[in-house]
Amino acid sequence: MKKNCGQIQNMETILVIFIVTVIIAIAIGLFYNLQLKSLDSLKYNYQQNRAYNLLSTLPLSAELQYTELNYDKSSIDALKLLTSSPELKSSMKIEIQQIYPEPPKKVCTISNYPDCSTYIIYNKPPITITSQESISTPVSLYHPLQGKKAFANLIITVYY
Amino acid sequence: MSKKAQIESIGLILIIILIVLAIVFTLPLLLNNQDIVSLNQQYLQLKADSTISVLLSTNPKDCSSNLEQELSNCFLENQPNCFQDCQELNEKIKEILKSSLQNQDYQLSTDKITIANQTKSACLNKISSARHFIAGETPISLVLCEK
Repeated sequence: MKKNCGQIQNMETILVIFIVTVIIAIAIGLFYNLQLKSLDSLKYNYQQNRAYNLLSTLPLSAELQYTELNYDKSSIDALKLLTSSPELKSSMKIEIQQIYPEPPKKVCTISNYPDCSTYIIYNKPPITITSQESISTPVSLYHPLQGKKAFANLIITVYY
Repeated sequence: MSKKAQIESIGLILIIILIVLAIVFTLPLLLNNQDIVSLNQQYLQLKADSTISVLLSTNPKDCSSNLEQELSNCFLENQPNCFQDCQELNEKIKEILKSSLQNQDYQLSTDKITIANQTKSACLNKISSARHFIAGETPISLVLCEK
């Protein structure tokens, strides 16, 4: 049967709509995947920013800071590290490692203080660790029993 | 509408869709990179400032004076209290910086001498700490290298 001009034009329109719909579907699929990747990236940036913020604010927190008659002495009280822990809800590890004077390389507890080097103040790893990133900054660690300041590194390890 | 005009319209729409998609995906990526660069610089600035202030306030083992006072003794009298000589004090400072600033290029110097220098490759950008004054007049600062 011979098709007339109107039928051909209708078929062409349907074909064009079909092709455009396929292209839009592919574009939406791509956009969805990229949005998922973008969300992962956003989550990574959020965790990273949080770690950097903690790095600069944690030494100033009342839970860890050494104060005398309520005056800030710009250092972390080593005895406070043994008894308190910051309240966080992130998958990370926060530790303070004394570098100088160099003590024996042990994790600090109340029983072996001050003959130890590492104070683990927070550790909450996720069930599965895909990757991790560590950032650090030096902090002054005050030992109240000796009345002396030591050179230490505050290390924050973020788990992803 | 003729067949040729229909094809041209669809082509035009496709091109516009592609351009819009390209802009939507590339713009956030370009903006995010600037944030990361800025964050890294802020981190190095914090690290440089912390390192120099913590280093100077540290007490050597079995000693009541801190490293700032020891450096001051070196500059004024050429003899520290808790170390045999200024060379030993400088070596100890180098050792502390090496342990703390691993995988990081740095330079600790006054306006006259360089106390510690660890430079393996060329710096993209130099981040300098706030200047501290030893013995009231000799400025000391730490420069970290951004790669």
